[in-house]
Amino acid sequence: MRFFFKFFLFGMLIFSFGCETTPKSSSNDRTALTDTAPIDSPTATLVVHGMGCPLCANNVDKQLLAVPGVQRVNIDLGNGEVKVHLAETGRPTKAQLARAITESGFTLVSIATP
Amino acid sequence: MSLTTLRAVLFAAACAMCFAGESAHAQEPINSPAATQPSTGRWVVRQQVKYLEARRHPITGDDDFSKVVSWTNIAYGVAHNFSMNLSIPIEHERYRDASGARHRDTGLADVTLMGKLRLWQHDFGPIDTSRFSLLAGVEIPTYDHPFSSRGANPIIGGVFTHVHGRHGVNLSGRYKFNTGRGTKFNLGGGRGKADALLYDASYLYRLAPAQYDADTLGAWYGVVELNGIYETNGDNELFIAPGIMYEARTWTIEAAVQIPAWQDLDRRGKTRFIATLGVRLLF
Repeated sequence: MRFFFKFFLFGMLIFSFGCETTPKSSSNDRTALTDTAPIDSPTATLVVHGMGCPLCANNVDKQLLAVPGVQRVNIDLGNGEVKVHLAETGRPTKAQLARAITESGFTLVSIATP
Repeated sequence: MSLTTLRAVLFAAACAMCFAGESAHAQEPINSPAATQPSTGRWVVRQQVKYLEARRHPITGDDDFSKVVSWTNIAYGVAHNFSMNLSIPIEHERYRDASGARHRDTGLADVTLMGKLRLWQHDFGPIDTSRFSLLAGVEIPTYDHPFSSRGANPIIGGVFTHVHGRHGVNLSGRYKFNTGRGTKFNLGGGRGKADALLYDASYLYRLAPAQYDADTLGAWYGVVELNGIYETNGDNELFIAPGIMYEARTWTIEAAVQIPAWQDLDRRGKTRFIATLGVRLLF
């Protein structure tokens, strides 16, 4: 049992450090991930899948609001639409918005700008 | 609370910070885990108060048990697919011994540090998702008699969550390698000398609103859980637990009652019921 316990703790340690790597993308919109040009419109509409509850939506909300240039976020849980209102200057890139969705733990389907 | 206990708590907190993170939330049942977790850098603090009553202990002869547990769970999202949980139970226990004298004790039970790694995820609709997470952690002894098992107990398991429309299902299993001497009465199970398998199934149904929209600020859920504890000494106890939950965008309130559905216990008192009230806050 003692051997197992040491083995377990060692495994936990590896397990914990292993998770500190850069997260893999969970985005279906592959072009958004590499689009590093600032968005040239005042709003962007994202479609996100997997937000199964109001608390989930708040995770998306908080991750997007942490992106520089994002001023306001409106989430429609019914259709998965996330409308992002952007600042006049210093707007983020699609890649930054895509990464915020990845960090929130959900799947980005698309990003559209008017 | 002894100095040893305090050291154990501080050690657990330090571990949580060092590992930088875990935990729980959305569509999560009340008495068992789900394959959901806070997003990167976010915290979920969950506070539950549990009231348990149990019958006569078959070995010691002590009787008329009741226990109030303040269970605090702090979860932190380390990465998009990994979180850390720290659970801190403070317990108040009352019982009547074989001679009829009444006793009461208050103390800190063993704290649990648990990692949750999401290994698989399939989001197949705006609110539809299937996820599987690996659970691994350790129960850290506080050495606060009679609440501590006085052993570091590794825990490993897995949890599957499926949400489709108004329906949510969670299935989980956790195996606890008990290495210590066990708690004095092992009320509720899983904290004796024998190893324990905790197995749970839950169904959540969104009562209202029927459809989400842009104005949705919260939702009511009806919950039914099956919570089982099998110990390798042969004891087995299965609860059915109806409950209700309201989930807003930054907080959740929950209430449930666990009623024994099946009991085969020779080494601890049979549980009469466990009532739970809880709140969760997302930061």
